[in-house]
Amino acid sequence: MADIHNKLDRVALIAHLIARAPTKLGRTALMKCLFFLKVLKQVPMPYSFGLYTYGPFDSNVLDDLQYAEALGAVEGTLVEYPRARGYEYQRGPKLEEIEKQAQELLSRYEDSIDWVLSEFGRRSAIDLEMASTLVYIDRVTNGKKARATIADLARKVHEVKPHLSIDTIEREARSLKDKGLLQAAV
Amino acid sequence: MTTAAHRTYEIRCPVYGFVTLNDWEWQIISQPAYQRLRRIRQLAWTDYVFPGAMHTRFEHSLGVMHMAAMLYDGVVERSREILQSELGYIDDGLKRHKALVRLTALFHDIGHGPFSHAAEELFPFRNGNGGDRYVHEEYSAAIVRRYFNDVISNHPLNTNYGFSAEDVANLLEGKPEAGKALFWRDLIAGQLDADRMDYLLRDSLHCGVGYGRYDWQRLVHTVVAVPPTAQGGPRVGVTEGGWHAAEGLIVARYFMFTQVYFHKTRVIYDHHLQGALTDLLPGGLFADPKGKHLDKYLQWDDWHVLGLLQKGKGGEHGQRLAARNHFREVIHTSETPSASDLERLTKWREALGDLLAAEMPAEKSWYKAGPADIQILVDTPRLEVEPLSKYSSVVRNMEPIRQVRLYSRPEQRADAIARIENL
Repeated sequence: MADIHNKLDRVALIAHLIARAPTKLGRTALMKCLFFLKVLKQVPMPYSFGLYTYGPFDSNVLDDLQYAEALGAVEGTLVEYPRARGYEYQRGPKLEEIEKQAQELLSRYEDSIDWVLSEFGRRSAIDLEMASTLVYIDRVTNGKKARATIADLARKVHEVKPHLSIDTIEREARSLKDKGLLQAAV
Repeated sequence: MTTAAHRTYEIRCPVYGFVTLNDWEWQIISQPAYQRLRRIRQLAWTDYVFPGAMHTRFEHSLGVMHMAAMLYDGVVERSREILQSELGYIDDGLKRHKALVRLTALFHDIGHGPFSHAAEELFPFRNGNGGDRYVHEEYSAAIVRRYFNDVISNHPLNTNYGFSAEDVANLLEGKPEAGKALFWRDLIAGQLDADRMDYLLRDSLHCGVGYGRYDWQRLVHTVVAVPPTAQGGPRVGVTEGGWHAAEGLIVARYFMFTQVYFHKTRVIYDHHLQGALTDLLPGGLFADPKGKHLDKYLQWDDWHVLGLLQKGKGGEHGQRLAARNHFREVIHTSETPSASDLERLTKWREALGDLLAAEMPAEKSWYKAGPADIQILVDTPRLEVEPLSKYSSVVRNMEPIRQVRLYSRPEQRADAIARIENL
């Protein structure tokens, strides 16, 4: 399927996702939800996620988010977290106007968006970094036609994110596997 | 007495004065696949607008290695505790990964096609027709694996490290096998990376503009590892004392984008190059980055394309490149078009009809002004982390550039303008 190359379509999709989220999404949560939409639900967004210690990331997502904000489709607010401040996003005054221009596309991916939000929309940024890193490594492993045990996957994630404990990563990996979201895990 | 393997080499650099390489790095850049970067201009046909812009990917790549090493040392100097507690680094590991980061930076652009980014629209699709195209980083990683394993693995300086080409390629591509070294990927391809820090300075210098200058020394002396917070991490950022320097970097990117990279005449030459290459390449696409296909890919550099253009090949676009007779801009949107501006753009397109020769959107440009936030580590006992945009009203109010430029053939420009005026 052709990628969503129209910038307004991508802006509408991001704004729609933010507007439907059960809690206000921060930048990390939005990045990871879009990663899940692309990888787990095959929504054809032209983002190319690379792996960092903070999980899959593509700066083009932030570029599109910034445009969504400039158009008034979303609004960002600076909020306080323990030992940090960051942005959270909610619907903007021009949301409906932007959504209207991408109605057909949004209808096509409505179920996928709702699914991602119900699975991941309430989780913390740190949990989402861990889950998305697991999915990323699982897909790389599967791409090599290899298989990995939960312990193998957890060890690989731990090598990338040594600040997370192996037990925590294994729990997350088992949960993702039980939901059928991992392909290489045995 | 210094043995051959421990010799160092100094190369003159117009930005930093000297770039120093060890013998391992020297042997790497002496390989034919690396020397090819001398034949790829950093800014493609930008010299048609800024005549000084004749510098190459070779020069830039040496600069990125130099800058990455300075940033690496800066992070280590200020963040040893965080590197140890969050990533488990001790001295040997830090020394080892510095060598890896230098090599990765040195190789980061090895996969560029002729005239750098301008050729990337002609990379083949990963799954046949449609979907994602290969990106130059994949070519870089594949070239490192295929042509550089021997020189990386078997140099005496590698004895203590045991690196292979695979290690460099994994960090370049962001593969899980890179492990905790992925932390340093921020210095190669992140919001505060050595690549853009170098190209802004270097492109600005060679173009003869002042827009890309910023206080890079201050950034080198304030760069830190930001610990994980509720917002995730760890990642690379700057201390509170460096936020104005970080702001300067963001503003430099904005100016270089609007004044150089997305200049109306410069950008249309990307279009002409793509048109000419479509005509010149077998099947209109480069070979994919797999196995022996890479041999064919590496044959394509600026010299090869220029030779073909000199023979009159490349169709209409080739002739326009040779004669500097580019399409002319008819009209453009504002830098950040509103929804109503985009509706007006649709009407312009319809009115121009067959006179519309090309459309160049800013978002397709190779260097983006990009999202503008960098993490600031606040100097309090609690070590709080804040986004740069919290400090900088300039950064907070910067809007993304989504300008669109419409072009006609030079001989049809008057008619094209008349159609717009009659709307």
